[in-house]
Amino acid sequence: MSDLLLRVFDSSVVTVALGVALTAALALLLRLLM
Amino acid sequence: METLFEVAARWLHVVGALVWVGHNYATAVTRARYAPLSAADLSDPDSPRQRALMQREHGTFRHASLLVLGSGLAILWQRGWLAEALSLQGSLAPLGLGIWLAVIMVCNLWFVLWPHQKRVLGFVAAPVDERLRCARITFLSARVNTMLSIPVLFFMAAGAHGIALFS
Repeated sequence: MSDLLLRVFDSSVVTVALGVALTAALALLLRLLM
Repeated sequence: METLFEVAARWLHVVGALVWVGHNYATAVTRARYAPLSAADLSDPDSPRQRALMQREHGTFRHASLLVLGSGLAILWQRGWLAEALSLQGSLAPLGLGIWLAVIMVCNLWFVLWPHQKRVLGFVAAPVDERLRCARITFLSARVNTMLSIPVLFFMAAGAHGIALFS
């Protein structure tokens, strides 16, 4: 299962998309908390 | 003297970040899809994959990561902002969040990626099966840093120029 999940990193495009999604989630969280 | 220190530290911070993250991004571009190594790649020192691995830069970018973290922390310390940033207080919270993500990246590089990469390259003796397993971990570790670098760069820029976003 975890091996299957880690396969998302096999693609550079998906890795970057995850980075952008993480950025948006953290920025939203920070804005809500500040 | 303080101005000179800050300019030098900031310049080292930016150049070091370019070397470190630039190396990671170059790998992400040249190896857009994961291509697993085979036992033949590792058992033959003259195989194209083995030679490509050995010719890749392995030291400069790792030490650049320490330069980036050290110079960044030094700038904040000199300004008296370090404790506030690390404890995510006030307007330094975005910068502080970026710093903590960068600390995770540095730890990932030095304590996960590099120990496994040493086995892949044969700097530490290991059976071929173990080296193949380490190659996968090395790849995933590098990709995690690619992912984390995106919010780090965002929060570094937001910390310096985007306070309005979070006020």
